[in-house]
Amino acid sequence: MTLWPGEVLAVVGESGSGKTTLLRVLAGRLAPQIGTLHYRDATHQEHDVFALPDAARRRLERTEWAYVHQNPRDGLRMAVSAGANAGERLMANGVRHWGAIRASTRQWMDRVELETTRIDESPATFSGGMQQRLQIARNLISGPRLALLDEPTSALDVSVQARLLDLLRGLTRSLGLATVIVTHDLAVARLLAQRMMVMKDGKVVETGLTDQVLDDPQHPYTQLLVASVPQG
Amino acid sequence: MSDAIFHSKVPILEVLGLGKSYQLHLQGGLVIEVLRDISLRLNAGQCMAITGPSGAGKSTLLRCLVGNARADSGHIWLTTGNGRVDIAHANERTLLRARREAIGWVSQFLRAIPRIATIDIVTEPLLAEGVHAEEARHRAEVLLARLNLPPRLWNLPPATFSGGEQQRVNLARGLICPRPLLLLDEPTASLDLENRDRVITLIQAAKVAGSAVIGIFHDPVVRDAVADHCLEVLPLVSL
Repeated sequence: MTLWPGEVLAVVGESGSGKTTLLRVLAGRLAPQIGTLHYRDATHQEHDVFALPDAARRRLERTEWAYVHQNPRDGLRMAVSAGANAGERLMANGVRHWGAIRASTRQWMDRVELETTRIDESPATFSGGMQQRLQIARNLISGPRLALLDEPTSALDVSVQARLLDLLRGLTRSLGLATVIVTHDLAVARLLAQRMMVMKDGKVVETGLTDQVLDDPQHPYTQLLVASVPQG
Repeated sequence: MSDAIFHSKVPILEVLGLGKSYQLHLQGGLVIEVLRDISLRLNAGQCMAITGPSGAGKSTLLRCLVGNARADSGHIWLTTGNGRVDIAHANERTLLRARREAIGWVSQFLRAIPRIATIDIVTEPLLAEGVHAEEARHRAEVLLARLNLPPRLWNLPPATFSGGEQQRVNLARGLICPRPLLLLDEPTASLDLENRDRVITLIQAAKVAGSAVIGIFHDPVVRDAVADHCLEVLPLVSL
């Protein structure tokens, strides 16, 4: 599979189809037995991700890549403040000026529609939707070029989901983020992604533009998925 | 869009031997052949009406032309600013680019993104082309006014609008940027007579501006007012 700058790809399929495993491989977190993964960085240098030394891979992880977990508690540090969560990547990337980190943190909290007055509060006091927005700010603050999103809305109430989807849609467009979003929700795919990949039993069974796959599904499994949704 | 496309002798759209079947895996793999060996040519400034009874495959044909339904056989050559593209065989990135740059598409029903205001739905194609926000808004307002959509609706999402109002939002979005190819699926189906006439005027203007138009127009008044040719699509008898 190939992902181009600014492109949003949805990976859909039922639980156990291998979506999250694929995402973890793409994130460099899980080494494949076969095959390679190549990433071209902001300076156009190409890296064979699993041949990189650990330190170099971790540097890409915290500078160029974002990884948003389904459950915000897996992506946040619950013992430290919202501001410390959001600013952590900047510190890890060598920004030393406290005032600059603080200003950038406020700016990102505002951008994901979190009240900046809550910067010193623990994320444990936040609602699920707020935690998810904080996790997004924490990831995007360092200006990544690739975002990997694992079911970012599915742990949330429907009304909160809608707001988060609007936010994600705006961010992927305004930042030109190359994005892979894993979801079992075809409406999420239709809203966010130009391209789609359908997985079943660890294999890709169909790919295409999102509207092609949803409006003219070819594979029996895709037809079943589309037919299972009222007004797909 | 460049003048070169409009004034060249190469047709904007050339379809050769297009075929399309649907295989329904949930119905035991039943294959329904919808289109067989369809060919057509359309030049700049021309309008073709697709006619034929319900269920004959008129909408499927339009959907193949925009690459929404995937053709099984044949070619769909579209002239774009970056040369000719075969919609039936283009890769995903090429197809997205061809759609963005060369095709205006007005589907039968508005499939709007929820919670987004009408004015933003209409300006989006202009903004994507790099038109300044203020100018985009102005052009959208002018077009919505020409389509007789009340200004009080412009800042609301169209989810609660009537069928005719939604259809006019859909038309505004499809017509806001001049495109070499304009595809219209029943653009006046939910409109009253006055609004229907306004849409006829807009389609005629798009032709004069050089767009090749292909559409399904059930209303014979609309068809006679805009179409230069008809292409009849007939139901296929299963072999």
